Amino acid sequence: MPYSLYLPGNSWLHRLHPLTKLAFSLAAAVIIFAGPGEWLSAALPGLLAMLLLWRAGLAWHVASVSFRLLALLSCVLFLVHGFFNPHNQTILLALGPFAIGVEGLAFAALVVLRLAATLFASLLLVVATHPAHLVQALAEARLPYGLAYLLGSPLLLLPQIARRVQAIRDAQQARGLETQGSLLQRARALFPLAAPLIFSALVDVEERSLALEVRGFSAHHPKTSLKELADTPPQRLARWVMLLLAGLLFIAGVWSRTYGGR
Amino acid sequence: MLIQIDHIHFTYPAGVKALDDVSLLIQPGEKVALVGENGSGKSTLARHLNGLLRPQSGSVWIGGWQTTRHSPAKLARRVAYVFQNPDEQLFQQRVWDEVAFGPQNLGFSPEQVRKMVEQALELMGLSASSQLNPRDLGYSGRKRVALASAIAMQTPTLIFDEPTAGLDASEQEQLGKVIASLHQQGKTILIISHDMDFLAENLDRFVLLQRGRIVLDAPAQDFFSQKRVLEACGVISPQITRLSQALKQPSLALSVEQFLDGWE
Repeated sequence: MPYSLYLPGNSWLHRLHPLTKLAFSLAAAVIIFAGPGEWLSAALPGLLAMLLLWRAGLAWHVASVSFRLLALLSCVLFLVHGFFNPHNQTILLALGPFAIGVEGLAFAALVVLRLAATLFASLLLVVATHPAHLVQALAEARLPYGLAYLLGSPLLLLPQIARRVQAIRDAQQARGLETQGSLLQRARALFPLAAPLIFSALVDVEERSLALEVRGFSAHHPKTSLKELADTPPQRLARWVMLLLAGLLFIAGVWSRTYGGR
Repeated sequence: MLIQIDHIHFTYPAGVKALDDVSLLIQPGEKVALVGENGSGKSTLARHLNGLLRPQSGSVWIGGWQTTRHSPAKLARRVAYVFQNPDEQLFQQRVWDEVAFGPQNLGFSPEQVRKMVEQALELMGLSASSQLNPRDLGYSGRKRVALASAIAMQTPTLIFDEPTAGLDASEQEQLGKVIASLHQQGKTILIISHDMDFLAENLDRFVLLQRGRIVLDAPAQDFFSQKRVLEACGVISPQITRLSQALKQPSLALSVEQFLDGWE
């Protein structure tokens, strides 16, 4: 069972500076949700992310992860909006008292497209960047180290959490808890599985903060980095361009939504 | 309940071969120690007994049930497993409810559940703490709650993974008495541990694993007399046993009492 989304490798995407990939992901997210022209703004960053991932040989992995994450959610979105979206006017198919509306399906498709595009752009960062390198890059960008660690910690702790989830599942199954089977059985298993994870995570927060402090985490002098993160002037320029473009498209999106209908 | 392990192999997805042609027969009522260095395959083997892991070849039978044909939740009727870290299972607001969780899952009547819980709490010295939140107990208290949770299920077989970790000397002694009591009830007991002093004092049969294979399976006295094999597998005999060996006592001592008997 893979415990981390990061895929070790040496592709050109791996070699990019973490902040370049972070800037791409952030800019893409802004454009996807706030750019002008909903469909185009949602589709283009997703397509671009996939193209970059394909060039790095990571597209298949990202597509597979995204499919697993989005398949069920997409079905639910299409069903809910197809049948119950209040803007449904054009009926595509009538099933007894229920009817599937085109407007609802279109809205669901837009939401799924946005989610998929955001996932592609985020995974571009996550699969090709070691979490520790991201923290290091943020700290080198003069972000307070505590904040950099906080931002990177969900990725750093993911493997540990995944292992704990497995251990908790084993422990509760050994006490006769059915974690498979009907929806009711799964719902019943939720609390015994989630509660130990939450409790132990809360305890971990305190222990981790103490363990960090006693090893000089808050020391004010610069920390030693064993790996040098390669950065280049074109990458620095690209980051500014991406963020500027995102800002401009955000303003254009707000403008078009505010004044576009007039 | 007879436990029969026939030529099982198991390799983790990362490619680590954890069990390599392991066969073992454990008679009902035996007290067996699984020992060996970290990574030798002890926990992997134990997890095959309650179906958390399935052998990739070979078979595991628990009293006529082949583990591959039953879910871990169903096998929990026959094998209780206490994991090393109690915090990976505790979730209820009261010790009593935590201990009752297993028997409730197994479908016993409310009256039976009450009785099973009270007995387990008493055996583990937790009766006075039954209304406390398990999270308010210290580590050893939580460990005892986890042990009581398994004992309450009244399965014919109990597996303990590092049961003495985090317990002080008197709590370890109490645990020894609990094991003796369970043994008197006819339970089969398997303990995975590095605590040779505890194992030598409380268990009868020792199974030594190295790199996924059983290299020694013997009664306690014979086991600890195999000095070279133990050294090769990184097992250090209890201090009292080493002293007994150094003094060339005719009968190898596994406890202070046995040593003093030999001395006299």
